[in-house]
Amino acid sequence: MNTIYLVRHGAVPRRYRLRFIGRTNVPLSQEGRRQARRLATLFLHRPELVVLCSPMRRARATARLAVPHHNGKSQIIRDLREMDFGGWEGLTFEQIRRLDPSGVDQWANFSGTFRFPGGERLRSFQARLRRVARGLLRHRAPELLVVSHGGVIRSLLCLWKGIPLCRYPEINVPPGSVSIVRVQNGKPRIISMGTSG
Amino acid sequence: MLETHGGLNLLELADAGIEPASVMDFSANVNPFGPSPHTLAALRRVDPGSYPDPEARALRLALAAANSSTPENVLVGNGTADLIWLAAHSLLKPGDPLLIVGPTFGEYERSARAVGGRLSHFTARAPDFQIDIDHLTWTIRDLRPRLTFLCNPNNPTGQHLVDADVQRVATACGRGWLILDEAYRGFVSDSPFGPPPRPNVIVLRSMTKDFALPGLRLGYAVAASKPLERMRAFQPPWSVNAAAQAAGLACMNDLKHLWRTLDMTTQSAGMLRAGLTRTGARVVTAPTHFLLVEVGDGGTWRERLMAEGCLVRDCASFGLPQFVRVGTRRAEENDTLVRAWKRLT
Repeated sequence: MNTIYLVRHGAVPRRYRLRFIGRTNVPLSQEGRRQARRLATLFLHRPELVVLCSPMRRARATARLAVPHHNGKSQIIRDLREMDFGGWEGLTFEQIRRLDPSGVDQWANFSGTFRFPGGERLRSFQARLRRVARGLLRHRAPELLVVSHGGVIRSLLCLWKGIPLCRYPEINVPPGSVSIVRVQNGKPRIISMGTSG
Repeated sequence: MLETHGGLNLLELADAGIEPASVMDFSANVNPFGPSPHTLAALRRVDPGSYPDPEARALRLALAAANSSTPENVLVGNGTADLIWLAAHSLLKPGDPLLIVGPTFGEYERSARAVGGRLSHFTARAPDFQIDIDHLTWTIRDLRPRLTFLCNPNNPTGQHLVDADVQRVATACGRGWLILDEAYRGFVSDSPFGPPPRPNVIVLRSMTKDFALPGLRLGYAVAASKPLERMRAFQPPWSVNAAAQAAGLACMNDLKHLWRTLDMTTQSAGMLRAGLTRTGARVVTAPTHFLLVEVGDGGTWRERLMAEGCLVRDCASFGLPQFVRVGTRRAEENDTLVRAWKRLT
């Protein structure tokens, strides 16, 4: 049996809260760095842990603080990056709903052809999510630490719980939290979601 | 002097004029192949000048994941003995009825008496010490104990209840707690890990026996949050010291060593059982790596073997004075014991 620890990066500066932050490469806030340091207390003395990390700044900073002894040995996986919200980046939900009500509807229903305006197609996101899921379930390492984003982690958990991806907002995965997944014979079992240890 | 636990008693050896180093210890049921080699390196890195993590967060996460449980459902303690006392003190009130399924480890009774619980025993009998599950579940339903202590597989009889039978016992406990001591589970089943079988079960797992860390005092409980919160409230701060946490983590990082040595232990035990049986010894049938042997007078047999340089456990304190318990060691050491046994027979 293998273990996958899905870690959501720490909090980002307050001015970005409640805004759609995907491809925008924001840093961790002070609170976010604190959360990442707290993660280090959970992953002490684990030299054999294999660390996979999103290329984004907030994820890499979280990984550096959470597993300091790995320092640079994290493998950067592009597929672990957050959704690209395109023209919606930096806007609040209210602003987006005023600007593009039909877009919001299509997105809420995870409509097949939906694409964030100037951003990622939902289909491509789902495709790369499935690539990530397959890669994680097949990985040989007995323990994996995956540092990624809310959208990615919650979608992965939906996939592995067997519930529709459009329900991902129902899954609570706070910044700096750990979700534990056990893998046996290539099959995932979710042990806990969004815990702080 | 009534021996209440296994292991070398230095005073006794001094009185008998026996050098501790010259004695082979078959009286404790520890994995004879020792802990992971990474343990020593980890221990060297421990700074005794700093306090340990009072929550043992890193070890707790590793244990939670291995046991398919969340960290909130794991409590790390200073050995199973510590957790037994925490359970008794936090979950029992004076006068509460409790049941001990025996004959078994003496600490359940000691801790229960200390709290003033009203003790009942369900005792399996010689020659095979098998537990009649129907009778046990009926007894539990009748008695309605607040706490039931079940050691599975059992020390010293070695009897092992399958999962379905444990479920039945847990169900019979109703709203009472079942303290399921699985210190020896790793020696008889595919895996020493797993979540509690039912919400009223508090599983105790030792890292002393299979992980071979008796000197460091380390164990953990896996249970629902409610009983664990109550146990946690009784736990003194820094109960799990830095050396224990570091060694525990090193062992969890090297489970291959555990699987390999448990296999080897099973093989050694099989050969020991065969060797003793060939001398005519009456060995109780059980799947464990320790053997219960009927010898007539356990105390005398133990003394005679001690004079031959082999220490076994006199079972008088278990209420079984005609028996001794022998824990397997490595092949060559087992051979020495068998030869000594043969000489004395």
